[in-house]
Amino acid sequence: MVDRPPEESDLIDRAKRGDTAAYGALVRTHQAIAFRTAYLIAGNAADAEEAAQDAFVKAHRALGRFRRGAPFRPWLLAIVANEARNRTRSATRRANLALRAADEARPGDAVPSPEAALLSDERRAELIDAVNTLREEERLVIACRFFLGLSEDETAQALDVKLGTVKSRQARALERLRGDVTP
Amino acid sequence: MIEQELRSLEVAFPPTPELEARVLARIDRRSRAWLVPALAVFAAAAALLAIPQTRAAILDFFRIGGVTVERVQTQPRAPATTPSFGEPVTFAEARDAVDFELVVPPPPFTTYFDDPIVTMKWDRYALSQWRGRQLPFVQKQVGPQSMVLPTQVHGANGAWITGARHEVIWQVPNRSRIEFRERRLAGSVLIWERAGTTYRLEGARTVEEALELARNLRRP
Repeated sequence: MVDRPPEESDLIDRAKRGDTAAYGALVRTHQAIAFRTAYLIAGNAADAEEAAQDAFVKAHRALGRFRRGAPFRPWLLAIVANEARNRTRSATRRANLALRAADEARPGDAVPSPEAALLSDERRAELIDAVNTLREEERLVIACRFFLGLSEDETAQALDVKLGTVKSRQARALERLRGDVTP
Repeated sequence: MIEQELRSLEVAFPPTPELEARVLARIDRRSRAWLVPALAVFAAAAALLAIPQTRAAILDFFRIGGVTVERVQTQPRAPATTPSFGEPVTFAEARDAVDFELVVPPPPFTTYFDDPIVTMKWDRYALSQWRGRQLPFVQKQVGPQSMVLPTQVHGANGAWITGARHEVIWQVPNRSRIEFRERRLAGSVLIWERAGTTYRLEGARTVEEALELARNLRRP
């Protein structure tokens, strides 16, 4: 489910007319998902930051081509992912990103979130290990869908593959994960 | 359910950097070069129809990438202005300003940027490149003395236009109104398109020379 604030199309219209504050609000809203998407693809924070920043600049330039009323996030993420991919291609420094679980007890975070509390530390470690051993293309689908909360459509756009490919990779990956972790 | 477990698994991501200020600073620098493509297409069509002799005299018409070539019997009179390719910029600035990979001639060359067109000049040559979709309204008008020779440019569709000077009209939308950016006569040019990018090479005397120059373009 795309969580789109009601005034987003309004912000886009204003940004198209040259209102940079309106575009700033769009950047704030989407910078976390943009950065994380770039991070999954680029494999390191420095490239992800650069990719996300460049993507926002290019998206601004391309706003004239943005179809009025369309959801902004998938369109933006396609640009972000493309920037991130370009960096991995040109730099040949593609780190095979190993995901890890967030620390259960983070400083300043006295109470674990209700979701995190559902899983034991061992279970979390087991799941993450299993995800990390998936093939890259399957791991990216799992990460986009479940860790970033992207829809299947958004995942397809971000990874530049067909919707059917997302579905089949996801099904294969889930199958593999079910076999890898204790039921 | 494994799906449920994956959803509730909190994955560690590096902290999200604050991008707003940096993005806005970069946008601000380039905001004067803001293009409104939809308006541009409409306006280019309107401008074309506004020149009666052009409308009557189109004999031939084809497109290569972002260039429309029309053959007309009477060329509108164009001032012989000095070619302007925009502001001189560093190569890195030009590269950052466009969303496609630039090609470059053998160095040394100087780089100019006139959003969205990047031009490199060296010796007596000039190579302009831009994304076809970004500028759907570069218009060339070719007079009766010109020859338009469709040609393959190393596997890409292109044309060599020669024989007489031809006019290049570049139009740029200025928010609400459209103005001519440039209206000048150009010598022989080779134009071609590859993967959505249009290239325009000016200054070669023969098609062979132009093709040789095109062959020596490289990704930096």
